[in-house]
Amino acid sequence: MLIRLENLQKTYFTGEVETPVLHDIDLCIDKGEFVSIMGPSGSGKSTLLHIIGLLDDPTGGEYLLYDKHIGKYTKKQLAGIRNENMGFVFQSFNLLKRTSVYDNVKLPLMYSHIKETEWKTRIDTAIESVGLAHRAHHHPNSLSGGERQRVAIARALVTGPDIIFADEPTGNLDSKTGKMIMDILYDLNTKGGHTVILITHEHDTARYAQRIVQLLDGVVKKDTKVTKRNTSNSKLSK
Amino acid sequence: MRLDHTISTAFVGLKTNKMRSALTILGIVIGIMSIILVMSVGRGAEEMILSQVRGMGTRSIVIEPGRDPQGPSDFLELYTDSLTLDDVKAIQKPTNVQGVDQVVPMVLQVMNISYAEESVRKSVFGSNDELLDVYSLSLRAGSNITPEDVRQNATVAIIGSNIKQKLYGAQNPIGTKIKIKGKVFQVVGELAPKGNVMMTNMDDAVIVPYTTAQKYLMGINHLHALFVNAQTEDIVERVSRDLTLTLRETHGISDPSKDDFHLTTQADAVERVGMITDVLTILLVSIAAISLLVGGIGIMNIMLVSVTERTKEVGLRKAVGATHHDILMQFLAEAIILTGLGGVIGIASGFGFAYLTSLILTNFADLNWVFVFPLSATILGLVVSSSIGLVFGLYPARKAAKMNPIDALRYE
Repeated sequence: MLIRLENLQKTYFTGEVETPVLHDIDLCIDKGEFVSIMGPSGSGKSTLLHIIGLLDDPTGGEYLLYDKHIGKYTKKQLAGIRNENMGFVFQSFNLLKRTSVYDNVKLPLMYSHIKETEWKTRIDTAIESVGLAHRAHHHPNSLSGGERQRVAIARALVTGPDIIFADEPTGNLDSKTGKMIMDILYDLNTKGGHTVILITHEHDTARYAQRIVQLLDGVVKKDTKVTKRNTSNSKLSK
Repeated sequence: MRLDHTISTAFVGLKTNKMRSALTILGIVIGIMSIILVMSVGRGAEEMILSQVRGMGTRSIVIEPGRDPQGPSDFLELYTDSLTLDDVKAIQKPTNVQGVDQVVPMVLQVMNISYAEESVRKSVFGSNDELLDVYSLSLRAGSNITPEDVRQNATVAIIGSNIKQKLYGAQNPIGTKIKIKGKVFQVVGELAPKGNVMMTNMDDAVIVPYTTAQKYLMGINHLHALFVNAQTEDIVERVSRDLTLTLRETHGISDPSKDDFHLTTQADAVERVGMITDVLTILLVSIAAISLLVGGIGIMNIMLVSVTERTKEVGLRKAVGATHHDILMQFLAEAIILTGLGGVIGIASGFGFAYLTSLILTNFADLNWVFVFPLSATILGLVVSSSIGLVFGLYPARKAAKMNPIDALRYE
């Protein structure tokens, strides 16, 4: 099992006030799965994604990653896992301004153990796979929203991670561009073999996944298989 | 992250805010510049004074009245009348002091010197025929004063090259009559240009027999200084000891702390000059160091602003795998590059100004000044400026490194 959560809890402490966000989450995600996490604002879906993505710590329960309790990893090892086994795509892209597409995609490699001689091939491949080879030396502020998100996907891909986390990747995009991004994520799952964990509140977007996990007030309310899965019709896919 | 990537990342960070980076390092530039300037000029001054002290020769011992000055009040004693011709006679006796080559008595006072319509106010030396020898002076025209002139209180004078220029222009001064303090003297010689000897510009001096100076010009019986040359350098120490004993005997002094004279050898003078310039340099460098402290605080302030501004960037870097150490090193590298660069610019401009100072002093103040490039100051400047980056960059860098990735990513 890739990811196993047992009674996972997260409570925020602000001074005297305790705000419980996640209660007793039980969830398993296998390698190669495409899972959508849905739920209204405040349901805890982002917090859950951040905990699974090792960006935040749970306050209770168990989280086993690669069958090992995350408490057993050192901070440095966790950074290494984020670097080589995980890729993040955020709603607000989070690209470095005044840094070319090429250098943005290079960023994770600089923190990795991957040999520098491989960097160029990896960056070029990643940029090409999102169809931005002609934009490699542009700066993000000269790109459209969809193009920026594709740069972010290329950045998430460059170290060849097992899991790709997408936190409302289409939230800032129009529906046509959003569809294009989802096509890429779909292909990454079906053709690239990456595990994809997606957060969205659009049913149509969620149906690119094999499975939809619905959260409400910090608990898993429903965990259903997608019967009629959306498929990619991307021209970019090979 | 590898060090070269850390450094290139830091450069990118600094380039993003060129104007701010430039203004931030200004404090460091000015601080390092002042230190380099003070150290270079201080060493230049030391070199200049030392070259004059060395001009007195390694065999020389200067005897002056009053005890060795320990404080400001002792300088008044330099004008006591304890040194006389009796001392000269006592010193010249080989039974008292062995190995003495020359004993040159000296009196000195600033006086009006005039010829025809022209008049100047310069130093008048009363001495004997050996002054030219011990001061390494040579004559451009005419002749030296003679022992006979000294015995007979002759009213003869040798004039320095500047005085000749001012009073006579292109005219030949030899054989003409000049007035010193209203008294008529015959010019017998003209000095070749020499510059400073023992802190006095001999080009601006007039030399007359000391007997004449004592009786006609100053109305005194004592001497202002005795210039003694030992026969060789090796015996200077022994000769000094014998001189001290002889003078104590002729002055009837039994308690050494009551000495009414003091001796200075070249070694003493070199040591004293070194000490004075060292103290001055340390003082001035300390003042300049305060500006470095202020500059360092400026660096810390800007680094804190920069860390806050780039919170989101820190979050992203952590999300893609940057460790605590990676982030710490990135911001530390930025601070060190910033201050190191400030140091390099400061060193360059410090030496630039020091060189300019040396040009001005040689060309306009007529000093025999040499531009000094102390390597120690350069290394010190580099080490100090980079250390400032390290010290004042550490707190902001730690602040960035300690950020929780998700809090940083969410920061608006």
